[in-house]
Order: sequence, then structure tokens, then C-alpha cells
Amino acid sequence: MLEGATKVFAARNGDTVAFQDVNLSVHEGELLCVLGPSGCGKSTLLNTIAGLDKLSGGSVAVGGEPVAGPHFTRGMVFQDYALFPWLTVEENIRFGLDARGFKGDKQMIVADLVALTRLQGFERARPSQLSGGMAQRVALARALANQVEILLMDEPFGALDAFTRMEMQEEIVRIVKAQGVTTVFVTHDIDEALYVGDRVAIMSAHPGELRRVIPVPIAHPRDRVDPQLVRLREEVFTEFNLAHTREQYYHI
Amino acid sequence: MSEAMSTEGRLAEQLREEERTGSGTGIAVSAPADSRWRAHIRGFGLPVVGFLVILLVWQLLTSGLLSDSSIVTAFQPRNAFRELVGFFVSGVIYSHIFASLERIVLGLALAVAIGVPIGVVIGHYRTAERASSLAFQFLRMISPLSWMPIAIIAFGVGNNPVIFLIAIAAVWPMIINTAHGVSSLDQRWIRAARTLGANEWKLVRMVILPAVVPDMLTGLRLAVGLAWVVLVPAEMLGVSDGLGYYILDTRDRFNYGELMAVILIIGVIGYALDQLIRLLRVHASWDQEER
Repeated sequence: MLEGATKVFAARNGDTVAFQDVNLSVHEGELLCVLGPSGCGKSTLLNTIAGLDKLSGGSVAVGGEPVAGPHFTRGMVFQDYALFPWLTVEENIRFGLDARGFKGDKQMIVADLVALTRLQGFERARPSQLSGGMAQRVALARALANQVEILLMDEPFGALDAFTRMEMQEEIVRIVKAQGVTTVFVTHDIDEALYVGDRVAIMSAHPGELRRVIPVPIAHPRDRVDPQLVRLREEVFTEFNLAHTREQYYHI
Repeated sequence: MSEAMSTEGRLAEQLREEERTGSGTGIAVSAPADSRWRAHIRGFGLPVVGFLVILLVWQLLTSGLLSDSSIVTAFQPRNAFRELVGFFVSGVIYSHIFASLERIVLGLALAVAIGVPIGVVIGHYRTAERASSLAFQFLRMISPLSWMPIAIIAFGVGNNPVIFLIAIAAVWPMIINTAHGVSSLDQRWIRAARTLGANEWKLVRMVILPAVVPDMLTGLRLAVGLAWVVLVPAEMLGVSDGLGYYILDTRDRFNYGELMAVILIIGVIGYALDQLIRLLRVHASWDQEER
């Protein structure tokens, strides 16, 4: 899907390479996590798939079609929700359908998504009245309302507390798998990536490069202390040079 | 917009602050029982005291202590209030109030219709902002009344030039506040809307316009203030009704009690209009709940 993708930001004091020569493909129906430290260009990568940013080199295509700009079939969920504060929860979810003049039964689509994301009772609430977790459910439902081909999530739980975050990780897997929608999930949280991802693409910073892609062959719902998950975690730590060698580790 | 907004921008900020705190409205923040009385005094009592001081000064200046000329004493508050009651008993004032209000509403409607689209364009495109800032600062500082002869040549004698002058006075705060709202718009909303399938037109209609409603209403509040101030002198030329016209009429009839009564009416209606927009701002804006 991404081939030799490179993004350079031109700046007065020299160009900044966001990421370079990234080759990455997402399988249909899979939940791919892009994991990396800040500055590795993972959010920019996501924006280029969304069509919000343009590549400096290489190509990006979704379903064989090159990405030319934003399109409603590529839904995006932002870290800070970006809900429209003047609309109710229901109206936010319906925004995409209204914006593109969808002619079908909007009410039914919205009602189904409210049920799927467990927002019942909050249909007429305003975004300012919602907790972070609830707001992100709305943002997710709003993106899904457009029957997206691919769902792009940019550190969606970055602003949530640890417990809400874990709850939302379970929720996202449940919702995405129920919809069978192909998802690219960007995060800097190693545990989060391994918990939700079918595969984890590891990126390094300065310059942003794709290091490797680790499959996570564990069925959902996952056990957070699954031994296999713990082993993979160690592997990722090693990849980021964060792990101590075993000798040092057992020197008690 | 920073420079172009200097004065009006500051005034707009002040209004926003006032709306946020509820000061200047007579609404006191809920307080424990023992200090509620004090809060009540502060919220409602003090403004009344201030108003009474004005009345007192008025009474002193016209009481005959400074000068016992009958012209001066004719301006006394008691004459004004007597004539004020007379206005409503005889009903003579209604047609003038309605004429003035009609011109205000039409002039403001024109200012909104012209100011909002211009404001959106200026706020949206940096080039348009750069290109217009000098011209607008120049035009803004010309008293609307300077256009009076031109207005009469262009629109003839009657209602139209007055409406035109009100629109010219009111259009600047509409443009500046709308542009300010658009240029400080949260870019995340734009990005979100684009990924949701909004084209340029839908972006304006479904995101930009609703997002700047609070700024537009702040602009409208400033616009109403300016329009009401400009209305009275504008009505002193070429029309035969309205509160401005009636001021000159009372002067020509040497009825100074009536003159002061009309001034009172102008103040009361101006205050009411301002409070009306303030309430609209509080209830029709999405940004109030977040506070």
C-alpha cells in the first residue's frame, strides 16, 4: 500500500525528513499498529494515507486507488477527538452522511452505531458534556458511519487515563472486528500496540524509518499477561534498545 | 487581524469577558446565605446607586442653583418624566420608536448580509486579509455620518440613506469579528470534516459558519451599539419620523421636557437592544457550555 514513501518537510534551516522509504501494506480486515517514538513520522504517515498530507516521494494507495486527497472512505480518528462542539452526539455521528449528501436511512445507521459504541442515552448530549472515553467513542462512530474502507486512528487514546485507555483498547478491538474494517492504529505505547494489533509495524526516529513488522498471532480477546505477549514485548523492547541483557537482569 | 482589530478587538474581548463572568448584567454568582445579601447589593444594588447618582447630578444641574433661567429649569427630571408618561398616554411616541427600530433592523440586516461573507473570506485567506487590512482600517475610521451627502445623492431623501448609514457603521465589527473567528478556527475541525467527505462548500456551511456563530454575535453586539449611536444623528436629516427627528422637533417647539424624555427613551431602548443580543449570545452559542 505504501511504496518507497518519503515525506520531507521543507524548513528555513534545512529540510526535515519525517520518514523515508517506507514500504508497508495492510491486509484487508486486519488491525495494523504503527508503533514508534515521537518524531518517527508515524502520524504524518497516517495523514498521508488519509490524504491530509502529500508525500514528497513514493506512492500511497488504498484498494489499488492512489490517494489524491481526503475521501470519506478513509475515516480518521484523532487523538483529541476533534468533535464538533455545536452538534449533539447524534449529529456528530451523522456529520459525514450529511456532508456527502447520503440518501439512505441515516437514522438507522446512526442508531446502529450508537448501539455498537455503547453510547445509548447520550444521543442528545453535547461533546463538552462527555468524558474522554465517551468522546472517543463518538469520534469512532462518526468515522465508521461513512462505511469506510479503511479506518485510521492517530494515537486515539493518548489523552485518556490508564484505566479508561485499557477499557477503550478492548472496545476498539471489539468494534473494529465487529465491523470487519481494515484499520491502521498509530501509537507510541508498546503494550497498547501488542494488545490491539494483528501486526505491529515498528518505526524508528531521526530519520523515520520502518524497522520491521511483528505479527501478533494471538486471538482476541487477549489476556494482557499472556506469556506469548510478554515474549513479544521483550522482542519489541530489544528492537528499541530498551531491554537489558539477561545477565545484567538476573544479577541480584 | 491583530492590528486592524486593536480597539474593537479589545472591546470585543471585554464583552466576551463580561458574558463569561455575568458582570454588568445584574446576575450575581450564587453565594452562601450570609453573603448573598452583599452579593445582591453588588450585582444589582450598586448599578442602581450609580444610576441614581446620575439622576441627582441631572437634578442639581437643572434645579436653578447654577442659573435660574427658565430654559435651564425646563430640563428638570420631573418635566422629563411627566412628558415621558404623556408620550405613552397619548401614544404619540410609538410611531417614532417603530420607525427607528425598523431602520435599525434593516440596517443591521444589511450589515450582517455584507459583513459575514466578507469576514469569512478575509478570515479564510491570508491574501485577502493582507490586501484588505489597510483599506478597512482607513474606511473604518471615517465617521459614518460623513457619507450622509453621498447617501442622499445615491438613495434620495427618506429611509434609505439612514439605513445605509447604519449599515456602514455596523458592518465593520461584523467583518472584523467574523474574520477573527474564522482565522482562529480550530484546524482539527477542518481536517476532520475533510476526512468525513465535506467539500469546500459544505465545509463553509457545516463547519466554518456554525463555528463562528459566537464571534458573529459578539460582532453583532458591537454593531448594535454603533448602529444605535449613529441612528439618532442620521434621523436628523431628511426624514420626518424616528427618535432622532423627534429630538429636533421638540427643540423647535421649545419643549425641553419632551426632549429629555426622548433622550431617556433612546437610552432605555439602546440598553434593551444590547441586553437582547447579549442574551442571544449566551443562549445561541455553543461555546457557553464549555465554560
